[in-house]
Amino acid sequence: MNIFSIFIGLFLMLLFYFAIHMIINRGKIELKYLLFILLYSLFVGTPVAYFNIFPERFNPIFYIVYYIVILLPSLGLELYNCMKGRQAWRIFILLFVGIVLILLSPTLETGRFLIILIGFLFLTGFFVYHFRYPHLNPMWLDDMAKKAAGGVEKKCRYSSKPVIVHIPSQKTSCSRSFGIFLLFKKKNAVVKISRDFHEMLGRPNMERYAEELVRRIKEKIKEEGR
Amino acid sequence: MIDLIRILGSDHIFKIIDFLKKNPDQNASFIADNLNIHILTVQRVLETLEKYGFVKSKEKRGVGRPSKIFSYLGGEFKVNLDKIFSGYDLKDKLIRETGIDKISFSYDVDKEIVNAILIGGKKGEKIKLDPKKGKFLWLVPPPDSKGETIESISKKAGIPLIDAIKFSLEMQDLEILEVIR
Repeated sequence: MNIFSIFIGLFLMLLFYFAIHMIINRGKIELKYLLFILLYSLFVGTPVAYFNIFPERFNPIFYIVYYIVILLPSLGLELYNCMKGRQAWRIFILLFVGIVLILLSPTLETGRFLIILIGFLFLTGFFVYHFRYPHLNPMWLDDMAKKAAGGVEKKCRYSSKPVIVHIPSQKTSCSRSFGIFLLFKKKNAVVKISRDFHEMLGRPNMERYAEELVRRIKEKIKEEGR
Repeated sequence: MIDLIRILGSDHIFKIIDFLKKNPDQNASFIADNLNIHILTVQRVLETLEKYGFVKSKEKRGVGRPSKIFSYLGGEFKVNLDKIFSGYDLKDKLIRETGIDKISFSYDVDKEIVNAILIGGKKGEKIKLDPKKGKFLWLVPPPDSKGETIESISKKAGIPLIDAIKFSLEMQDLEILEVIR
């Protein structure tokens, strides 16, 4: 096993990860998201791949500290949303268990690849959930947020206060993308857009825009449920 | 003015004034303990009476935190109905945010309230709001929207209509809200 084979392995993993995102994002990925996914995947994947190939070089302290630093922002955000009641615990459990199982693999003598496989199964569950509820995917949300502004009156004023859309949801969920924050609650939906994003969309009427965005997302969720 | 009329309608004010006339220079905690009334109620009554000059207060320093002691002064009060009802016709008017650049908000999406209004950015003036006013402002529709009546928003926010009108007028003066029609 040499360094070349590690790169091949990482490349295949990135390809696999990219394919997953292509599927959950319905075939469309912007360059800024692609770069972010690839870089983040490399940061997450490299040490676990390296220590699986060279288990004798495994350093538990480095390993734990590294992954706490790398994974805390994303896992922490998911955990925070669950604790605040903004999304279902199953999303966090699928993600957390999947990642932890994969990260545990270098510590095992036998059954290393089996535990990676089980970890990937949990992560597949996480991605299936994102496919079923596409608004949880920042790339899809970003695309939809731009499309929703299409038919809305432009050159309107902006407010930093979120807009409330009186459409109830069966499931609470929280999603965000660059410049947009969306919270589906039992009784209503809350849409917050940043000033820059509002400007970029051509300053749409905030009320109409929020209603249009929520309506389109609800239609998509309903469509996926059929 | 409406705050004084409100407290005059409660039974507690008579007990508190009677106690204060017989026992001048007492603090709210002592009065509350003796009359078995909640301290916040006593404080609210005394502060309102002080605002209109019916009681006076001074700071008493001793061991621990300085306390405010009150004495009864008495006096008269004119009710200006025109002033009280000015703005009442606003209840059916549609309001919305103005969306001016210098205003931003600090809010809580889970509690669905606006905590504070920030004028002139984060380093500018900060107006903190009580939860009911914060809820009212949270429910005010955004700029360029159809708008909603003050009465309807006040019902949703659980805030008395007269307070909602007063608050809306304050917000209108700050150019945060506008009346559409």
